[in-house]
Amino acid sequence: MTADGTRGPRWWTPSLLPYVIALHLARVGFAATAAYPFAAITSRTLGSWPGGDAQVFEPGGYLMMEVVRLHRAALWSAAEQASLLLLLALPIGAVLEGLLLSALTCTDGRSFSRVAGRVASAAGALGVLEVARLIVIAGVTLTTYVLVQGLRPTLSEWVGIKAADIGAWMMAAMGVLLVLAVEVMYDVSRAAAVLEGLDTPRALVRGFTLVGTRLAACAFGYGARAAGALFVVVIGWQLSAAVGLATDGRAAVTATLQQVVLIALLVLRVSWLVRARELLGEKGHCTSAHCAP
Amino acid sequence: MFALLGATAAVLLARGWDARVVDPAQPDAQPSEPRLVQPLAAAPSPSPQEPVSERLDPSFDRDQAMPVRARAVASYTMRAALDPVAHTIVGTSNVRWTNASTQPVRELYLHLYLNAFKSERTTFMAQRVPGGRGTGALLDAGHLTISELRVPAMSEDNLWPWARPADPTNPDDETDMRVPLPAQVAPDSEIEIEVKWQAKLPAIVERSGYWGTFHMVGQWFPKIAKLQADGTFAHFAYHHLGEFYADYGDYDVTIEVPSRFMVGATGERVGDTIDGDRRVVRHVQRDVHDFAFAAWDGFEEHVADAGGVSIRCLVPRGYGRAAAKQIEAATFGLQYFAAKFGAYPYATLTIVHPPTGAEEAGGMEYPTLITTGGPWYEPSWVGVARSLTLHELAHQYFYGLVGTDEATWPMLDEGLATLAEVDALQAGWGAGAALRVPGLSLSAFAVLRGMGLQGGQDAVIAQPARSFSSARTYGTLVYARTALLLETVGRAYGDGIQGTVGRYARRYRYGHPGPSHLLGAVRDVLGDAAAEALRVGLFDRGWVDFAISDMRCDAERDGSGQHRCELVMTRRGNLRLPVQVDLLLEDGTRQRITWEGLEPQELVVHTGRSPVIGVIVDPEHRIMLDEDLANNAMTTHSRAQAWRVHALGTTLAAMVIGAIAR
Repeated sequence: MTADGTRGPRWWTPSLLPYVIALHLARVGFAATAAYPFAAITSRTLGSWPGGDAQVFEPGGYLMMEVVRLHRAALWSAAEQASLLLLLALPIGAVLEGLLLSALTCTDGRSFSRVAGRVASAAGALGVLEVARLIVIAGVTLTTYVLVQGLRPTLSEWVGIKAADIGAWMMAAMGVLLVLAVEVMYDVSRAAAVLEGLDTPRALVRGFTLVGTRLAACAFGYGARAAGALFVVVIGWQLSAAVGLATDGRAAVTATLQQVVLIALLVLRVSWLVRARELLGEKGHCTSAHCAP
Repeated sequence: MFALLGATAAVLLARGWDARVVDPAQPDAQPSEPRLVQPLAAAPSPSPQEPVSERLDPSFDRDQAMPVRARAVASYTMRAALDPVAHTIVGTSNVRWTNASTQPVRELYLHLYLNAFKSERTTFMAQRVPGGRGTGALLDAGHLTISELRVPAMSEDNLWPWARPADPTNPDDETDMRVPLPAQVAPDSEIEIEVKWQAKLPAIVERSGYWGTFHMVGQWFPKIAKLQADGTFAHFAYHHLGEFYADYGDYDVTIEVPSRFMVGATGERVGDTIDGDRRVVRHVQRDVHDFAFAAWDGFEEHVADAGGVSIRCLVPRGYGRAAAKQIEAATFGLQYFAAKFGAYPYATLTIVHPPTGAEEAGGMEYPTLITTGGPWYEPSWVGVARSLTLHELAHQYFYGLVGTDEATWPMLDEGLATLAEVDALQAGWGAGAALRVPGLSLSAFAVLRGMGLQGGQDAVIAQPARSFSSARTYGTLVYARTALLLETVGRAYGDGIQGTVGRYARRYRYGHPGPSHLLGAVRDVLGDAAAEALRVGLFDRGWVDFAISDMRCDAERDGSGQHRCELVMTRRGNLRLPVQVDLLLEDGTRQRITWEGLEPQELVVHTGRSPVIGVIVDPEHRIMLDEDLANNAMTTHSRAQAWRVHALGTTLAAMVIGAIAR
C-alpha cells in the first residue's frame, strides 16, 4: 500500500503480466543458450548409448565422469562462453526489470510507450546504478576475501584452527549480508530513478534515506523473499531428485518442476519490486505528476 | 538419505565384523588354529616380468595358510629423547641383526633418511621433480648424525669413522651409507650393533619434521638396509618420489618428551609415565619393518575398538568430527581388509591427523600408524577423509604386511593400496562414496577412472620411483592406473581382482614379493592371458580402446524374412582383453556375445528375423581402462539429444541470471 493509502498494482495484476513473461522468457532464453553447449557435448558423447543422457545422472556418475574426462577443454570453453552470455544478460536484465518497475506505477501511465518512455528517460541513471552496484559488490567480495585470507592464519594462532575457521565463515557471512544490503539499496534507488524520475545522485540519496528510515521493513521485505527463494530452490532440488530421470515420464516431471521453481523465483522477485515501490511512498503511486498523461 | 547411508554402513560394518571371525571363503567353516607357515625368503625371480614358477593353489585363499610371524631379521631396541624446542632427538639403538641370506656378509648398508634434508645438494633435494610434496623451499634443514657404531662381538672399536656414502656419484648424499665390518657374518648368524646418534628434524617436509610444536618423526633413526637372499643389500639414496624398504623385526622403543606432549607411535603402548616435566612412553611391536611417532601438545585423543583392534585417533583439538569420520572408515576398513587380505595381526592402529600447516606429514603410512589430514568440518556427503583413511589403512597390507620394495616397485604398494581403498569405498559407501548430493552421486571407481586415464601412457608403470620425471605422472600411473589395470584384468577374466589380490596378500605375507609374484597370482587365479595382459599393462605401457566402427543390416534376398547384420568391432592399443558386446535387436531383445579381442578388428555377422538396431561394447563397464566410452555404442536411430542435461543446465543458468542480471 502506498503512503496515501492507495494500492499500486500487485505482482499478479494482468497489466504486469507481459513484462513478467518477457523477463521470464529472456532469462530462460539466455539460460537455454548458455546451457546448450553442455547438452550438445553430452549428446555427442552418449547419444548412441541406449540410455542417452539419462546415464549422466545414474548412481555413481560413471558416464558423467566420462563426459567430463573426454571433453574437459570443451566444457571449460562452454563455461567461459556462458559467463560472457551472463555479461550480455546484465544490461538486458536491467532494461527488462526497469520496464517492470515502470509498469508498477499508475494505471493511467501503463501503456507500453509511457512505460518505455520512463525507462528511456532514466536510462542514464539505471546504467550508472548498475555499474556502481557491480563495482561495490566486487569490492565487498574482494575485501571479504582479503580479510578472510589475511586474518585466518593469525586467528588460527590465537584461538585455534577450528575457531579461526568459524571466524572466517562469520566474516564471509558478513560479506554476504553486505552484498544483500547493496542489492536492496540498488533496487530501491533504481525504483526511485524510474518511478520518481530522479537522477543518479538523488536516486542514491533516496535509496539510502529509505533504507535508513525503514530499515526493518526493507530487511524483512527483502530477507523474507530471499529466504523464500532459498526454500524454493532446496525443495525444488529435493523433489527433482526424488522424482529422478530414470524414465522419459519422470524426466518430464522433473523438467516441469524446474520450470515451476524458476517461475516461483520470478514471482518472489516481482513481489519484492512491488514492495520496494510501496516503500517509496506516495511519489510512486497513481497520482504522481510523473505518471500524468 | 544420510540416515540410510548410516544404516548401510552399519550393515556393512556388521558384515565386516562377521568376516573377521569366519573365513569368508568358507562362511560355514569353524575358525581353526592357524598353521605355522614360514614366511618366504623371497628368492629373486629371473625377471620381474615373468610370473614366478611357484603355483598358488586355493588354499592360500584362507587365513590358515598365512605365516603367523615374520622372520625377525633386524630388531631394534631404541631410546630417544625429543627436544621440541631445538627439534632434536638424541637416541641410542641396539640392533639385533641376522644374516638371512645365503652368503657371508662383510659390510652393512645403513639408511640415514633424514640426511636428505641436510643441504640442497643431497640426491633428494638436487633431483626433485615437479609436483608433489617436498618441492618447497627447505625452511630449516634436518640431519641424522651417528657418533658411534659398534659391533661388540667383533671389535670394541667405533666403526663409524670408516663409513662412507654408498653413492659415489654424489658424495654430498649421506642417506645411504656403507660400513665395512671387521669380520664377516655367516649366513643365519646374528650380531648386535650398538649405535649412538642424534637427529635434527627439518621444518616439515616430505612426511617428516616439525611445525610449531607438532613433530612428525618418521625415517628418523639409523636403519639397516634390506638384505636380499643373495647377500646383497637393497640400498638406495632417498629420492623425492621414493619410499622405503626394510627387513622385518621386533621394535621396542622408549620415547621421552615434555610432559604436556601426547605421543602416538607404532605398536602397543606398554608404558606411559610422567617423570617431573618429562613424559616417558614405551612402545613395542613385533613383525614390522619401521617405526614412527608423532608428538604434540595440541592433540586431542579419541579411541575406539574395532573387533579387538584398539584404534587411537590423535587429532588437533576441536577435530572431533574428523576423528569420528576417520574412526568409522578405519573400523570398516579393518574388518573389510581382514576378510579380503587376511587378518590384521596387530593389536593397535594409531591415526595421526596433523594440524593445518603440517599437511606434508599427512597421508602417510607406517606400521600400525597412519597419518591423515583434511579440515575438521568436512561434510558427510564428501568422502575425502574416509578415502584417505582407507588408503593409508590399506597400506598396512600393501607395503606393511607383504613388505614390498617401495623404492623399486612403488606400484606394488600404492597401486594395490589404491585398489583396496576404492574397493572398500564401493563396498561401504556405494555409488556415492566420493560425493553424494540429492540426485547426483559419484563413485570411487568413477573418480579412479578419471584419474587413471589422464596421461596414462606417459611412462612405464613398473619402474623405480626415481625414474619418474614428474610427481603427476607418478601419481597417475603408480596409484590410479595400476588400480585401474588390475580391476580391468579382474573384471575381464573373472568376477574381479580381489580374490587374486587376497591370495597374493596371504601367500606373501612377510614375504617381500615383487612384480613376478603378483603376475604369478594373477596367472594362477585368472589364467595366463590375464597375467600377460597385466604384464603388458605394467611393463609395456598397455592401453586399450574398444570401439564399434561400423554397422549395416540388410534383409536377406531369399524371402526368408531373415536379416543379415554386419558389425565391425575394433580394439586399439596393445592390451588384448576379452570384451562383452550387446546386440540390441529391433524386437526389443538383447543378445550378448563375447569378443576375445585378439585381433585389432573383427567382423561379426548376425543373422536373424529381427535386425540389429544398436550395439554396445562392454555394457557392464568391465574394461575400466577403455580410453573412450563415447565410441562404444552405435545405433541405427538418430543420435539422442541430451535434453535432460539441457533442461537442468537451463534451470541452473536461469537461477544465476536471475540472481545477477537485474
